[in-house]
Amino acid sequence: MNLEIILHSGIATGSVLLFAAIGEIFAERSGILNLGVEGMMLLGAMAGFGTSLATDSAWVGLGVAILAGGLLSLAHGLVTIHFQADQVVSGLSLTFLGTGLALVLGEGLTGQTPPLLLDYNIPLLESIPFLGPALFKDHGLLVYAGYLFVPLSWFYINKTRPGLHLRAVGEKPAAADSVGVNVYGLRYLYVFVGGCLAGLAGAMISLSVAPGWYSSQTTSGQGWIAIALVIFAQWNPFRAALGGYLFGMLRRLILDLQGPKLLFGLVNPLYINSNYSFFLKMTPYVLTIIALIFGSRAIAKKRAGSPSALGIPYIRGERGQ
Amino acid sequence: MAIRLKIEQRVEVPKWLPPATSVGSVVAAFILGGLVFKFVGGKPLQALSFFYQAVFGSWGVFSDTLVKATPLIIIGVACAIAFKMRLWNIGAEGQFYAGAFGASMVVLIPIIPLDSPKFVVIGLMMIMGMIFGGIWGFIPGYLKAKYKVNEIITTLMLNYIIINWNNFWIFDQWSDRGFQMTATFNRVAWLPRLADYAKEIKAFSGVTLHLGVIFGIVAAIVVWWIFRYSRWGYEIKLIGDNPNAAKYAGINISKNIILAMTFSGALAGLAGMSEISGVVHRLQESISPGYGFTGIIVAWLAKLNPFAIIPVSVLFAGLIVAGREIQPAGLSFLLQGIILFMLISSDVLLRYKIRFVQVDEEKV
Amino acid sequence: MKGVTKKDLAQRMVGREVVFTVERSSHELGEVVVELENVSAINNRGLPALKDVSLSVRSGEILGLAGVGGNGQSELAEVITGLRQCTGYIAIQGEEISNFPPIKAIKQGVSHIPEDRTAVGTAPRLSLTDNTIMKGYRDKPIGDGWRINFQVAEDHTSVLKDQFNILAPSIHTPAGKLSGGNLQKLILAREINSEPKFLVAMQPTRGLDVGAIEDIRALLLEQRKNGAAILLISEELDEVLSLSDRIAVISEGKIMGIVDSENVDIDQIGMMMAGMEQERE
Repeated sequence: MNLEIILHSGIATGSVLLFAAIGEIFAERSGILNLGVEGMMLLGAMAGFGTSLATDSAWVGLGVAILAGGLLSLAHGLVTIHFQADQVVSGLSLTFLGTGLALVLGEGLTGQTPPLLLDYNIPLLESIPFLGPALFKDHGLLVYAGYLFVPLSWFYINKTRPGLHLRAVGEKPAAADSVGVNVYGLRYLYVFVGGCLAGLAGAMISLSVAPGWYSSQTTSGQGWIAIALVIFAQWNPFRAALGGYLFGMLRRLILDLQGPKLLFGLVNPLYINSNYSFFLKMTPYVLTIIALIFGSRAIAKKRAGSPSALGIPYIRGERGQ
Repeated sequence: MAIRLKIEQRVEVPKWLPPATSVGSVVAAFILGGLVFKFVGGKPLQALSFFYQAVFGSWGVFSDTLVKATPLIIIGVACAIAFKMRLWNIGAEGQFYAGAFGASMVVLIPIIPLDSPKFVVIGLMMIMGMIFGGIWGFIPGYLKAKYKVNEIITTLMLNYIIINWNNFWIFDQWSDRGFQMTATFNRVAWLPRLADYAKEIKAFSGVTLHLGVIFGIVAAIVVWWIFRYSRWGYEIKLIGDNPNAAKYAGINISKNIILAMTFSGALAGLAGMSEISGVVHRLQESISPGYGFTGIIVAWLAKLNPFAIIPVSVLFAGLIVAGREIQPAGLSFLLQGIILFMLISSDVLLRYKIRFVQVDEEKV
Repeated sequence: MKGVTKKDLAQRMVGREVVFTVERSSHELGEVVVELENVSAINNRGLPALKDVSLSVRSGEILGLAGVGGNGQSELAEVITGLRQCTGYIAIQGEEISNFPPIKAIKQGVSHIPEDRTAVGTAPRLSLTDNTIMKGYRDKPIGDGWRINFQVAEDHTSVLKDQFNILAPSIHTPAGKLSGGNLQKLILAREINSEPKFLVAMQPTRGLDVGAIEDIRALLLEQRKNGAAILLISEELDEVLSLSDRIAVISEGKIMGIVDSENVDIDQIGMMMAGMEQERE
């Protein structure tokens, strides 16, 4: 067990989560709940991996993955925005759809070795003691992009004019509509953005962070954890990233706790019976529930939190709106 | 004269429309799924014939289908109770596993001596299955009622948690000579099945249909009665339609959330008990090909009507049985996804209708 | 137009004579039914909405609450009906109902015509029948222990539908399809069906057409004649003036004054609505 490795691994895994989570933040801020993230991530993972294999280029694979996630989310958008179907059920159906498509189309990809997204180091910064190698060495470009993406998305949502429109559409769509903001159009846009980012996150897994295609094990529920992160983060990109990195470190820690040695060469008491590892495997999910409890309580206390129009279809001219 | 499309809100929904959308969704899913399947090199028409065999073929295969339908019926009904209240219990899979664990406890600890009468053992297994499934439903219900925690995520997380919990016991404490499964249950813990009566009725030899299917039918009748005639069913319906109105009407929403989730979990737990006692006869890592998730789709396709859940479960069971022969395995998942998606898309037809209107050119 | 009065216009619109000024027959006032003492509450944004409100209503009396919207009226209706916490004391015939869940007020004979008839008062996708029994489903003859007798419920709904002239294709129509006026009649029918001791009527005629307004006001008066105590909360000053026996004015969560409607002085009311405290009766 090595603290530097835990941090490094945490950053890598966390980057995946933060992209998916911030994508969902965009969608939810516009008022659309997208529960299909897990399906979109898996589809993105498969699409990226498979396309890279077919075209011999990881970047093309990434592009296709982003598009795949986006297209799937547009289906969700159509059904929820125009058909005003229930957003929860639609999102769930997309999880099934995305997962099913990924499993069917991805048949035969296991064990293949397409070109992957390579790791790079950032000169100078990588020399910072302790933090340097963990944050700036041996990471895919997307991880570094994540460092910039977090503050940029926060800035966009909170300090720019289009960000204001985004928030308006999610809080008081009727008011936004009355001043000429295109509610339907913006919702489609941000649902699409969310889907693209979920697809990106998926491809990040299969092409960069944990390369390979392992059927549904490729994402093993990370899409759901990203959705939980959004609540925990109270729709704030910084908190989502922080939560993501912490979660990533936790996953690595759990993996290490299954090994023979602990910190400083101490023998790992948990290693005695390898079956105790099942309890360790539970931990991320238990912690997600705990994080959700704290997040929900904080939301209830602050009385602020979820976008007011989240989950409610906007129908122009509806009585009482 | 020109003809224009006019979309207007419906005032009343014709009675034939909701079932038609369900049937239409399935047909559309078969077509689309078949196309995808063909794209990856499968033989859709052959797969379709497997499916036909599974449902309408020989009695032996049909019995297999009914056996697979049993947990689907029980879980479908479990989900219907929760969904009617707009409580999204995605944890039926986990509650199934929890119930299987509870029932296994009776046999593997054992809780009562194994020479007790069969109906006592089976009865206790049923109760333990429902208790453990109920607990696994209670937890997300309580969290939602008390802290407003999103039940979709909690139930999903609990799915992963219980599988690991079960695995610990299967791999470790209850492992059969180090294999990744428990020893086969003592026959007293086996649910009676038609094959047991092969001596009396020759036709029953090899027929694996077990008592669990009766659990399913009884559960469907009970939940149907709850929805149709009971006070609780009315309250569930009201909360599901408008929680604010329910609160205004004096209904205790927290209590009902907990009650509905626990009840739903208990039923799913019963399905778990039925599966290990009637089919698998041991506790092992994999006891469900995703019954908990398919059950969700079954409930939606049946529009939460407990009686409709029975034939829909048979349909999906046929898909599972046929799916055994079909590669790739993800196809049934894909089909379920398309069916659900088509279903909710078609819901729009229940609210709006399209009319063709003749427009006089001159008037415009 | 010469010589056309408001009354004439209304009559032509509705097709019959419309009564605007209501005759208030002198009648016996009964016991005090509802009492509020020093009730304070905060609103959804955490700010004080009610400040030390005290009032009472007698059986057979309509207490009208006048005031500009947003001065605590919603919160007042909510603390009485158990939908909001408060400090202070609220009781129905001596039985405390403050800070209990809504069921307590309902069981004490409090009926409530809510401010938001669609978001709170109706289950839009459920049938007229389902909506009619919303308050009465626990009691005989509709409710019976664990069961609900839907046949009785449907018969009952049909009777109410005819009696109150609620226009809808059938009793199975989803309530959300009803027009505002018909929906309000449905809600009123439901709320007075239980012969309430105390009726909280919040904006009962908002958004309705002239005919419906007249119907609803007549129904309220009939309830008063039957001995109900009514708290009429309305932003329509005309309505408060014409229906109430006593008029209270609320401003920024405080009761500025309560006057008898016989000797009402519009200027006085206006000043109270603007926040100037007057004497109480």
